[in-house]
Amino acid sequence: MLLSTSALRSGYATGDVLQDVDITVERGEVVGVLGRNGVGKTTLMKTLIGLLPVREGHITFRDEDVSRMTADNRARLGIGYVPQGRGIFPDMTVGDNLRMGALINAAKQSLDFDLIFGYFPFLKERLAQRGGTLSGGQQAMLAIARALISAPDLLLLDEPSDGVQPSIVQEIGGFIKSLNAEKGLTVLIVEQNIDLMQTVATRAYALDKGRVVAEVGRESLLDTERVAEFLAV
Amino acid sequence: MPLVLSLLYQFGTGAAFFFLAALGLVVILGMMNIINLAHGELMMIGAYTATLTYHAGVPFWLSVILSFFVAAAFGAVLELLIVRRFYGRQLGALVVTWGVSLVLGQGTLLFFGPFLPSIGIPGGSFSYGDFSFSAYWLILVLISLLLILGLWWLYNRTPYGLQAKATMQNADMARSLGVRTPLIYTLTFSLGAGLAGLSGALLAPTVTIAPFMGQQFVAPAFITVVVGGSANVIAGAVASSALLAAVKTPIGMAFGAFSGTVALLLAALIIIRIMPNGISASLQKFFNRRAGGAMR
Repeated sequence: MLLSTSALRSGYATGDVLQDVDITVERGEVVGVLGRNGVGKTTLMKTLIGLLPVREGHITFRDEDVSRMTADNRARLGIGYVPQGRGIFPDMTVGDNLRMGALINAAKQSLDFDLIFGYFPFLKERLAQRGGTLSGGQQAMLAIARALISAPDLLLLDEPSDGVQPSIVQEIGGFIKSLNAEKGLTVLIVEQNIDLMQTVATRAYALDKGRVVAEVGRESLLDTERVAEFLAV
Repeated sequence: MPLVLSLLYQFGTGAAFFFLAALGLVVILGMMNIINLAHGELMMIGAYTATLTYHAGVPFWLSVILSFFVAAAFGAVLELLIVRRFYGRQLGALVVTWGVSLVLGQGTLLFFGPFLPSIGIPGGSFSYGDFSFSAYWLILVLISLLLILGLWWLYNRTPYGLQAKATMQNADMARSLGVRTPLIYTLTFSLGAGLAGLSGALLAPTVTIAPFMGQQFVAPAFITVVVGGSANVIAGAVASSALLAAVKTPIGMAFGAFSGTVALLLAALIIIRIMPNGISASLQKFFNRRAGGAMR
C-alpha cells in the first residue's frame, strides 16, 4: 500500500469538511475521487499534501505516518501535487516553474527534462515565457510537468481538466494513462469530467458531505449514468 | 559641458539616493508585501552600527559591511518573534512595524542620547568648471549599480532566489514543491533588513546621526517602491529611482529644493494614477504584448 488514510478528519476554521475518510491507494493504481462541488474533494487533496492539518485520524504514506508532517517534507518523501487552479507561479518563466519542480529531485539525481519535453514538446519552446501568459490548458500541462520532474511516487491531481479545452483534456488523459502504464506512476485524481475519469481511473471513491459513500469499481466506472449520479447536483 | 556634467551628477546622485533609501524596502515591501514602517529605523540601526564602530577605530568600509550583518541579524530576530505572525494581514503588519519603529527610535534616544558624532564624508571633493563634485557620492552611485547587479544575480541565478520568488508568489504551492517556506521568509526579511542597514550606513556620512534620522528616508523609500511596482521589483525600483530623480533634479536646480520635492510628489501621483501597478507592471505588459505579437 502506497497511501492510506484512516478515520481522517480535516477542514477549515469554519468547521470540519472531511469526516472519517478511509481510502487506500496501491502502487501503480490510478484512483479517482468523485463527488459534487463542495463535498470535500479539494479538502482531501490539501490534507493529503499537508496544506491543511489533520484534525483526527492518520495518513500513512510509504509505511510512514505523515499526519503531522509539513507539506515540504511530504513532497520530499515523494508526493507530487497539482492543485486546483494549477498553482503556476505567474511571474516566473516556464523554465523557472519547472526548476521549482526539480528542487526535490536534485537529491534524487534522476532529473529527466527530456521525458517531460517528450510528453509536452511545447514547453521546450516556451522556457523563457512567463507562466502566467500560458493558456489554461498549457498551464495544466506545465503544472503536471512540474510535478513529474520531482519524480514523485504518488501524483495528486486536483481537477486537471478545469478550464481546459476538450482536445487538451483528452491529451492530458492520454499521457496520464501512458505514464501509468510505462513508468508505473501512481495517481490519485479528483475529476468532474466523466470522460477523463473513465480514461484514466481503475477505480474511484465517491464522496458526499465529506464522507466516502461508495467505492466504484472499474465496471461501474465505465457506466456513465452511474458515474453521473455521483456528480449530479 | 560642466553644466551637463553637473546635471548628470545631480541626476545620478539623486537616483542613487532614491535607490539606496528604498533598497531594503524593495525586498520587504516589493517582494514580501509587508508595509514595513520600521524601515527608517532599520536604516538607523545600520547608521548607528557604522558610526559607533567607526569611532571605535574600525575602518569605514568595514563598519559599513558590519552594519549589514547587524541589521540583518536584527531583522531575523524581528521576523521570528513578530513579523511572522502577520503574513497576509497587511494592516496588522503595518501597525506592528510602526510599534517596532517607535520602540527602536525611543530606545535609541534613551541609550545613545539625541545624536552621535557624525562621520566625516570620506573621499573629499573636486571641482570642474564652476561646479564641485563629491567623490563619496560618485562612489555611492557606483555602489548602487553594483547592488542592482548583485540583487539581480541573487534573485535570478541562485537557488535561494528561485525559491524566494516562488514563495512570494504562491507560498502554498512552493511548500508543496518542497520549499521550506518559513526559512525563506526569515532569510528574505533578514536580507531586506540587512540591506536597509547597509544603505543607512552608506548614507550615514551625509546626514546627522540621530535616533529619528530614519524618518527622512521613509517617504522617498515608499514612493520609489510603490511607483516601481511589484511585477519585477528590482527593475521597477531602478526605473522609478531614475524617473523620480529625472523629475526632481532639473526642477530642484531651477526652482529650489522645495519645488523639486513638490514636483516629485506630483510625478509620483500621476504615475500611480496612470500605472496603478507601478512602472514594472506596465513594462511587463508592454513586453508581453510585443512577445505575443511576435508569436502570431
